[in-house]
Amino acid sequence: MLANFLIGLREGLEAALVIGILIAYVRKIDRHDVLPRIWLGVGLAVVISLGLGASLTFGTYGLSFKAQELIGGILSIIATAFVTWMIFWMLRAARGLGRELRNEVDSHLTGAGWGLVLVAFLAVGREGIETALFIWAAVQASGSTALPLAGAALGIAAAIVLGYLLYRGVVRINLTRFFTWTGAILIIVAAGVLAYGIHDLQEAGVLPGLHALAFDVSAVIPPDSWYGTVLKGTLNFSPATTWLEAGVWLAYVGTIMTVFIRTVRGYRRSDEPIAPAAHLSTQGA
Amino acid sequence: MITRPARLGFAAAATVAALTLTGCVANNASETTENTITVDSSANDCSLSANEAPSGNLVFSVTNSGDQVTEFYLLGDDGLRIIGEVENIGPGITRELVVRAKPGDYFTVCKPGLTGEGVGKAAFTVTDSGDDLSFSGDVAERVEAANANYKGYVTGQIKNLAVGAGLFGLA
Repeated sequence: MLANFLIGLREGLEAALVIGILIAYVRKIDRHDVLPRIWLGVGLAVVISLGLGASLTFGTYGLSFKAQELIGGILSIIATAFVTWMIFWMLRAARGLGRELRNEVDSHLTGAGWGLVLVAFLAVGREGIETALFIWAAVQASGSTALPLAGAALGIAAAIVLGYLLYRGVVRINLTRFFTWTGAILIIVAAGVLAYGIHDLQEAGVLPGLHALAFDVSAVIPPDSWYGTVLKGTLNFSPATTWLEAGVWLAYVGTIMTVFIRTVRGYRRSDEPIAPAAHLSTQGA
Repeated sequence: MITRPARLGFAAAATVAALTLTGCVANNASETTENTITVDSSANDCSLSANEAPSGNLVFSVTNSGDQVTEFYLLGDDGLRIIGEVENIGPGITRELVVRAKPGDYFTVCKPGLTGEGVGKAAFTVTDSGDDLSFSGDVAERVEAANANYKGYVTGQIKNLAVGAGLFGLA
């Protein structure tokens, strides 16, 4: 029961975090009208994943291991690209908001509306097929015992509750902080997703180095423990990480976080034309 | 107006659709050359109903009788290369791994708790059933074309990503 609960939690947590931040953002800029688009993306991902999972479980054809890993890996890498785009798009839109140029925000939103659908879709659909296959296997087992299905469902429900709590938490903080913090969180999350995608491609044999581990701390952080689950579900932290994963993670965080911090600072500076120089330099830390 | 992210998204959807189509293996192996092997993954063992099977479609039906989440691997003759894997087999759940196996030597292993070398690693032999496992004629060509398209797509994506990252770097 607990083990199945943790699988559900892990598979659902990261999607719930990204969606939570996305909705908080839209609320913050008072654009409730784009909420249906986000839910459309989420709904499509859930329906398509469950549908594909059901047809693969109960239908004539299953998915080969390699194809499944390739789908998970490629969707993860594409999801990283989209979340990265979303982070910088939020910043640009926020800049418009900071200057109270509402139509600048609006113009970004009209162009990005479908982008939002896709971010929501990819956040949920990325590992959707794997999760759906797991759920349908639990459904198949429910002939003999309902515990696995109950555990999995409760796990996903818990992930959604945590996503909601994050939304409630971040929606209260002030705008500048909001963008800085959610942006930084999203960069770390996206880096984890990217590394995860690399690992999937390594498992599929498309990329080399599956057995070249940079570190293995699974003795300290067992992947089936609750804290291992939370680390995996939020940051995609893998206790046994390959060199390639670690390298890609560092390269991504190093590049994107630097650009992000510089962009945030640049915007702050341009938003405060009358700020004295001394004030600016102390703001750096 | 179709935005750039939207186009990227459609490309992504197309890739997944293509993979789903080309990456299919028959679930119900009994209609072709069947072989279902049941695997019992317990806390400290990984027992198979058979350690030999004829080449063709093999179904490993893995039941987790332990109380930790488990994974089942079919490994190549070097004991490292992953031929097939099912993960997320929660306690009490049965999941299937379907592989199109060529004749040769393999290893099977379960990983309850998802860490370490796994338990119950055992040799598994696939004998030559005489079935031709290679794709023939049109199918082979189509797979070839799909592979070429897919390679082009991945290359394009990486280029996009590289250009994007470069722009970010300049920003």
